[in-house]
Amino acid sequence: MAIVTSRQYRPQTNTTSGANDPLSVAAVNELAWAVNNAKAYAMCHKTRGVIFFPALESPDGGTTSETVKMVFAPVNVPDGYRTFTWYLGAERFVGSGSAKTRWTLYSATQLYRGPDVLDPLHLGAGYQSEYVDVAADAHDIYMGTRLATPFHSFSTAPNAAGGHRLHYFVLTATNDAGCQTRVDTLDMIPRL
Amino acid sequence: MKLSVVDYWVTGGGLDVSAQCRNWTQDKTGAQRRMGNRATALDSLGWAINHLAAKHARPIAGQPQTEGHVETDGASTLYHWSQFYTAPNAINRVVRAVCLPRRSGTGDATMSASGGAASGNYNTTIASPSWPEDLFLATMTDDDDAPDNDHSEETLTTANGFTIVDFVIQDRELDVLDTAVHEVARRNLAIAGQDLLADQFEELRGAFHEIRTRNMGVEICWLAQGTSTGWAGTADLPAGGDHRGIWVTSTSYVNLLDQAVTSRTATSRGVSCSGYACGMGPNDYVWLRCSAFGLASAAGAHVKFIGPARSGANECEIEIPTGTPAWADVDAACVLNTTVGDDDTTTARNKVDIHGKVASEGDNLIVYGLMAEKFYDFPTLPT
Repeated sequence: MAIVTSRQYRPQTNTTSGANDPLSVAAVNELAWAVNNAKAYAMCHKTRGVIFFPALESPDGGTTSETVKMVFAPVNVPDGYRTFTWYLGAERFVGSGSAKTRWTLYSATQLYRGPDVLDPLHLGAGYQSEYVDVAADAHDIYMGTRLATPFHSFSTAPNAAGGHRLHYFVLTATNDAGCQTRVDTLDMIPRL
Repeated sequence: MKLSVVDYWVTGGGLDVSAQCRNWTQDKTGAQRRMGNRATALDSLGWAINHLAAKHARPIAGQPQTEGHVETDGASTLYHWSQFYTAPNAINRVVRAVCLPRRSGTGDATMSASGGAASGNYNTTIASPSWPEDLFLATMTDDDDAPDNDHSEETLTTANGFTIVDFVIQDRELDVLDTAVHEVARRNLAIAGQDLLADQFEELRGAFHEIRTRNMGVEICWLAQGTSTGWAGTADLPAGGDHRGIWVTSTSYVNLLDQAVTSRTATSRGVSCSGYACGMGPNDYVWLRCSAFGLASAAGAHVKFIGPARSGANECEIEIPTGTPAWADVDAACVLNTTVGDDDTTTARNKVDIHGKVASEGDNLIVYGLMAEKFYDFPTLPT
């Protein structure tokens, strides 16, 4: 019973009739499809939807090292989701040609408390990362490769001990020489 | 009665009742026999619905601040958000904030919410805290409201130098559902070996309907940062505004994130939303209920949310009040397109741009907050 996109939840009335009536196989299947749709799509509550105003700028002064630009407050992500679809609204405002800034989004198991030039040791075990390269003057919405959760490879139940899994996110910027870009939106949606 | 919630979606690998309810089967002679439901099918549905009811905690609001923009003095209203507390089980919430030590101050450095929640004291003082080495995490629970199916507002306050870099308020994930308090799917309705009846199933269906139609996510949130002296006014803000408020003087609609932009395109500044396959039944849309927090110097100032391109109009226009800053919404909405995939890059992509304008030359509009959440059951589509 694969999760399919063509089975959105259909509000039902009198599908199953009253007391002591037989229960149809179709009704049970229909509800199962709807529950799967909810888990896979309709109830994937956005993990973070951030508007930076004013925009978040990559480092200036010719800095080309990977610099921590934002350490986000942690968010509890429901069980079962192993990746995030994410989007970055960005543009280049210093530089030309193929000069780019690489914006990297990390998912981690602990709060980053390291130097502003990223030191991955402070991201904890199992951290994951994906990036987008911003190399155009015109504003665009960049879609990153799906970012895995830091818990994605765990095969055991995350909440077995009653502890809730918090996801910590860090956004870094790495400029090419002579390039500077800025980000105005970051949106993350959990996916199975 | 209290029910523990299992990690159904992790250990079970998803919900599959196909082996537990079948219309037909073939016996060894090849004849087809009519089959029916097994009790375990309803049991599985109950587990899965309760997992959705307990574990899908919605992030409600939050706002990061870039370096140099964090409020270090404390503010009686640092952030002010609004939402419809419709989620059946969203009775308890938690605030998590990434903070820097205060730079100066006496008294207890704390954060608190208007519902009565308060953090502990964070009185460590560092004159020049290092970013990001000195960051720390502060949390507090916020248990004030029962879900009232209505509009609700809340504020976050900081005192005596408490310095927030980013915060998120989120519904609290539940490990236990209480049938006296929460929306719950009762699982012990069907008993193996006995008849499975329609009214047993109806309880599951009703619980799922409540959860699916009311526990819907917040898609857009931007909050201006209040100051130690209140909301910034036109005398405080640069042209176009900053993190303390977006200032608009144009008499025609301009994008609030870049006022040189006047129309929605596939790549213009806007918020990417989760709309794919999120509709109801055959519908190719899901409602997005929008609201804006602001202050206009004269009547007729508006904020407009512009949704993905579709065959009809897709805008939600909100008039901003005069007098004092206030949240405003309208009984209308724009929609997300549930047939458009995550990777669409056309104007039909599920991106919402937000524009603003004033009525007349010389008027001022300051926007202090923007929010939108998915919603079920608006009466009409945008026209």
